[in-house]
Amino acid sequence: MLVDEELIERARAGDAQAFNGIVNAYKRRIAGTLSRLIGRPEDVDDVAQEVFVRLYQSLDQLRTPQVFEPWLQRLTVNAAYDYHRRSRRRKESRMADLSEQQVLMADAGAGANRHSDHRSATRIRELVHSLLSHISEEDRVLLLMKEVEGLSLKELGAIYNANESALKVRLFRARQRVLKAFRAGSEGKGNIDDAI
Amino acid sequence: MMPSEQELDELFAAYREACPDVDTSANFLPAVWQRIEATTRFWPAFERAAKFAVALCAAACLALGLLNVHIGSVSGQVTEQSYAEALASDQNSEATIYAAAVHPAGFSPEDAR
Repeated sequence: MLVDEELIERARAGDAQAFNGIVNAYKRRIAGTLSRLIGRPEDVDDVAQEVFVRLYQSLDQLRTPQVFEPWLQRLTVNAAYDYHRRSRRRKESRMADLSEQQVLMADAGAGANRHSDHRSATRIRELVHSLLSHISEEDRVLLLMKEVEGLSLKELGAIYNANESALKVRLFRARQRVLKAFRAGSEGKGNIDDAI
Repeated sequence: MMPSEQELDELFAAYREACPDVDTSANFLPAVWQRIEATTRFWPAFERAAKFAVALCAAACLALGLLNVHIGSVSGQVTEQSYAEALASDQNSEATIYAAAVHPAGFSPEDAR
């Protein structure tokens, strides 16, 4: 944990300084997670603020400081879901130019881990966003939490309050759909959507 | 060549590197507090309004209840007859009307009884 339990207890008791300490400790991590989950850097600050407002409002429901981080991650995931529900713009822009997506896929598919400069980072972001547009918003967030944020099934189970086996199946299916889109893009033939 | 599961893993790892943790804006914390205060201002006002509405409803229920009791007691004073008795006592006027309609001329209401 980035903060000690005593600080969380003080924040629960209504200590504003303690709450500020929590926000300052976690804001960078939460903003980073959100930037990967929502894919629009210009909206990250707004959604991250919403996460901390919800944290403030729900601190008294926190059973024990030990579960603080899963609690905060759940709030982050929920805020990302709410953001996706509010905004469908990304989906439209992703579907706009399939031929460009195929070029991106062909480039990145040749060796994603070799790209290091800013331009290739942008291309990787765009490629991953376009691949993830082939799965539902819920599955997108779940897959990113597992594959990119590196959370275990146990941690995801705690966040989603769901059975680990069910999550495993859901993750497998989402991953297979993304892989199929990745392969279709790399082949560079036909419409990506046809492959799904 | 078709991308493999491993290449997808590599792509996700590259994505993680391409999207590092970001710094929030300078006024992040004040903005959070501004939002918290906005919600804490709204909820007490809403709570007060809700309490006022509940009190108003309770008063209206009480008033209607009292009115109902009052009407009940007043109507008890008007008549203590049953419905059948009231109907029977009102039969005279009805008989008069019907008799007049059936026997319009030269007919006395007394003959109807």
